[in-house]
Amino acid sequence: MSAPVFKTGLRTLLLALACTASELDAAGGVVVIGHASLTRLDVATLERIYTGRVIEVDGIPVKPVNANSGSAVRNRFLQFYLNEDEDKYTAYWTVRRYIGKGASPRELTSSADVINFVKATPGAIGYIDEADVQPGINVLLK
Amino acid sequence: MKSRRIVAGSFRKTRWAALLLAVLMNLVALPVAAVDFSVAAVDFSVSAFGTLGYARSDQPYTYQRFIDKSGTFVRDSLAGLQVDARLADQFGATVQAKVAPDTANDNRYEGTVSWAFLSYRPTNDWLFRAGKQRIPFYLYSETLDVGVTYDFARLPTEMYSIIPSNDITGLSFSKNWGMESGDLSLDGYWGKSKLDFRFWLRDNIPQVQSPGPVFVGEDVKVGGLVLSYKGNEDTYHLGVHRGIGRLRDGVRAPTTFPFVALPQAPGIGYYQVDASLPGPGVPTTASFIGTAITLGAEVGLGSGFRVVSELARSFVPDTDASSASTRGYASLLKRIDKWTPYVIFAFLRSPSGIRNLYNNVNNNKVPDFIPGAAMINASQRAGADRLIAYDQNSWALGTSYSISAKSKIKAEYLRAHIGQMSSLVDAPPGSNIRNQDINVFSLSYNFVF
Repeated sequence: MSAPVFKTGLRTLLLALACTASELDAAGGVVVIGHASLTRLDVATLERIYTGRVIEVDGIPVKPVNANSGSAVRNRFLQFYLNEDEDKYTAYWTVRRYIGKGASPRELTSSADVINFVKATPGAIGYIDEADVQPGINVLLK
Repeated sequence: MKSRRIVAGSFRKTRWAALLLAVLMNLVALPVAAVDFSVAAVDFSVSAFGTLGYARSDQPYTYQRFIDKSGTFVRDSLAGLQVDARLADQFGATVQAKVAPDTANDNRYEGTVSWAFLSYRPTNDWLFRAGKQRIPFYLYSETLDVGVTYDFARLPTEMYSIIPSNDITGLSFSKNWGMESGDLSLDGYWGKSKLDFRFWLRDNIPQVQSPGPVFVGEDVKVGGLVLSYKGNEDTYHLGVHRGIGRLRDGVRAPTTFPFVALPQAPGIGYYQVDASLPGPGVPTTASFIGTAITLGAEVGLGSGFRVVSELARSFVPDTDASSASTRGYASLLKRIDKWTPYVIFAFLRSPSGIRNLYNNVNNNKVPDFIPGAAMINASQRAGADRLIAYDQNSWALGTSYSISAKSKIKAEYLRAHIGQMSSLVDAPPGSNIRNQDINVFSLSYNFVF
């Protein structure tokens, strides 16, 4: 009984390490996507969009959306693109909301919801797990 | 006495109502976050905030309207609701309502709309607002009701009491310059406000006044400019504010109380604190023009240390009966995981002209052989009570504990030293509160959702 368990455990560990390495190579395995009207973004602009300091890019009003609070993809997005953790990001938007400068980006539950929203909404920006990227999606940053 | 007991009874009810409101709000809040929804292509976001705070001092008289040795939930407890609507790409609207102690009545809570404004943001760098909004007097002006957004148990009252309320109805703009290291912004505003200045009358003078609070309404037009820089961990703030105030209902305000020498007793006299007393007349004015300069900085020092400090100087020329003052505080905070202990030193002092007038009037007594001496002497103390005068400082040691990004517990010990006088103290009948210390313990639970 112990040998198969050991092998399974080793395989899981190796898989986890491989995934981790892969994620590190690709910005946490998170890809920023946007409506077809948008062009590629740099990290600084993305950070300003998700902190409410930029509302338009190249004259196009942007509509960022977040993954659900606490989700793995959101945590990785915050870490790799915004250099934040959930608590700091929530605290930032709490202050921003109560200085009257708006609410944090709307939250969508799944990658499919994000993709559908981004495809259908001019100026929309979202992020999804790299594994969920489909052909034809406008990738803004990865 | 009967009326005082009735008041105390209703006060207790108010306390419990506030307590229950806050607790119920938070119980409701536990499983939910801010609510976002869309109606007819308008995105709405509804959020709420609150503080359930208890404060108790070691003195029988009240400090900051509510704090005494019997303890109170009223000083710091409040609850609010905010709705943000994104009407279109560049247009938004914000409404914030709160339930907090009435600014014109010590015995009740009131529901007020703190914010109700439309915003227009045509580009990334410009923001215009019209409606009811908050004057950016202080570092924490906009969020002072939202305890989760700062670590102090209570923003230093010495600083955060330049005027009784800093909500205005008017227009504002904000121009932002994005820089590599942070954002520089210039904010300008102009608007009107209705203020209620609170005076505490110490003594009972039959048929003239009863001891207790009196609220004097003032209509204010105010405008100002604030330059601020916000970097990653640092914020700097410089503001210049100018306003003109008029007492409501055409009432004229005294600018000083002239001394009336008594011919029958050389060197003895009284201050004419009211037009009904014999004398040359009390000089009055229909309006005051005041200017305030505010400075603030929040600076990260590394290793979790942070310094927060603010300073304000307000001027009201041509009068010795104003709320002009110099005030400020300096604090050091250290973040240790979820704990943020801090120490604060704060001070508040009126200009010498105001303090001298207060002391001269308050301490003036005519001998008993002067006809009407008792009434004259009572009038002097009553006149002093109608001046806003400060000479105090305080030390505070406290900590916040962050349960999550949306809730904090805070505790603080504060030792306020009253020097010559302080209009933040409600002195008992017949007394003067000077050269005394007030020890205050505060505990609060703060939340947003």
